[in-house]
Amino acid sequence: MTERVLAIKVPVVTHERLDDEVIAINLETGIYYALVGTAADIWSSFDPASTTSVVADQLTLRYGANASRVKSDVEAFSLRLEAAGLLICSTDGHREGAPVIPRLAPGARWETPQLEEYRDMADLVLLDPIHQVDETGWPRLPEPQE
Amino acid sequence: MTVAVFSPRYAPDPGGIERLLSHVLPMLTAHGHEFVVVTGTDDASEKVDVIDGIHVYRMPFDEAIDSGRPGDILHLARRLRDVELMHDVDVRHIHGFGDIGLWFALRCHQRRPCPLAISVHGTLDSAGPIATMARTLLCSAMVVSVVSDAVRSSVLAVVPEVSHRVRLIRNGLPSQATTPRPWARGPLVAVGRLEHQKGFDVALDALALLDESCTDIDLVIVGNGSRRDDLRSRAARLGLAHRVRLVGQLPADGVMSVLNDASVVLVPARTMEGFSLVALEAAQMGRPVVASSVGGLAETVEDGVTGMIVPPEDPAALAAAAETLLRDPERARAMGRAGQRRAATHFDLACCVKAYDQLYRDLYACARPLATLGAEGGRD
Repeated sequence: MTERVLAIKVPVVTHERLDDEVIAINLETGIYYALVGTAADIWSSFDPASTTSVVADQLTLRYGANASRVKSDVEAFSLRLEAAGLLICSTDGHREGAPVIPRLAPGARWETPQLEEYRDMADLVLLDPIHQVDETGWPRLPEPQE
Repeated sequence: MTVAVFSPRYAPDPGGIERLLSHVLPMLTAHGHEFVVVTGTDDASEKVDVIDGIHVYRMPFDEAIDSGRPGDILHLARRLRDVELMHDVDVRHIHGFGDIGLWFALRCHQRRPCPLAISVHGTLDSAGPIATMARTLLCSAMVVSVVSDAVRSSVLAVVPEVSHRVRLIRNGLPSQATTPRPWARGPLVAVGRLEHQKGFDVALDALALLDESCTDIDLVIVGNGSRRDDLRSRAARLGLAHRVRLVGQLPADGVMSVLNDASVVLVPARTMEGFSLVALEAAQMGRPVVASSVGGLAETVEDGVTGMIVPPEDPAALAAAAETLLRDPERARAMGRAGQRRAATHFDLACCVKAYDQLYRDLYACARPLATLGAEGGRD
């Protein structure tokens, strides 16, 4: 049986990596996600699309870690990412190109990846009626309608 | 030891948290504490001020989130980390919930944990939208300070597990430079952001209900906000346009001057009012306060002694209380005097500063430098 190829669900998901951290936003749900360390590396490994086996092999080498543990973690984490609507099964098959992953920090070791989820970001933005303020600190009034 | 203070905004913003911090932090600096303030700005780029010797970083949190660009968010989070490292931050102190800077503070704390204090200034709504993030932070805090017993109850309703870490630190204000004038019949006054939660529409309705003996009484509303036009329209509909003055923003001494002319100060809030510095300022000016029975208002205003407490969203009750005081100047004066005494004894700034001083000393006892945490177990 051919292994499924997974890809980041663009353009529904917008994402960027800085060093060992990824921020991903599901624009459909408004949920923000942070992925750090091994979680960020798994994420980046699916850009371009890939299979969990290929990703696990790459990360086993990268971390010099136990292959079965990495495979198990990658498979479980990929399922979590799919469930969150961040990864989808790619119909294009495996795409050319290698993932861009920064150099591993000295002393970094394989840890079970975590998906940090922030569901109330949109609410926080909406909740902030206080702080559209002018230079004197008082709330800024809307421009008069023409 | 250096404390990173996170506040929705900072001076010269006129909000309650901002005013409190602008008084408290310089006094704590004199006690040997060092601070760096991290706050938000509506501008697209960061601004750094030094106010009273304290570095204030105004960071474009809203701009980063509004952009929807993860890279902007990451870079700002990284900048915040660098600011903390540059100032050798050992301890974090978050004031208030309800702005997007909270998320950046949370991220900062998750990546580089250190002793954390959270000061809750408004009552929390257990069903509110920030409950998840607030809960996470409250559970991470070594100390949760609350400004009133009402706020304490609301916090414990959301996170009962932090009960042993909660301490009450009531707000305090310094003696006012403005000299209180003797009480005289004058306008009703309300001060604050012109937002729904402040209930100034209820004050307008109450003005309309005052009886014939009070037709000389105006209502002065100080402040701006999204409801300004609604309030103006409502006053016109009620036939009160000539008795309602929406004077907009005023500097601090201007606010005190208006309070000094009031016969009664109204605080008709609907919700979330954890303490009300306006009620305290009114008391300092010797003015009786009529406030709604929400949040911590019944603790700041002693019902029947320094003012009167009425149900929220009840214009008839608000009007009746104001009328009672307008008809009985001696009672109004007595309440004003009692308010002044209570402000000096219960809400002394020195007591407030002493409590925060102790809070920081308790946190320092558990603090290690952030860089050490990062090297030993932080994920950076």
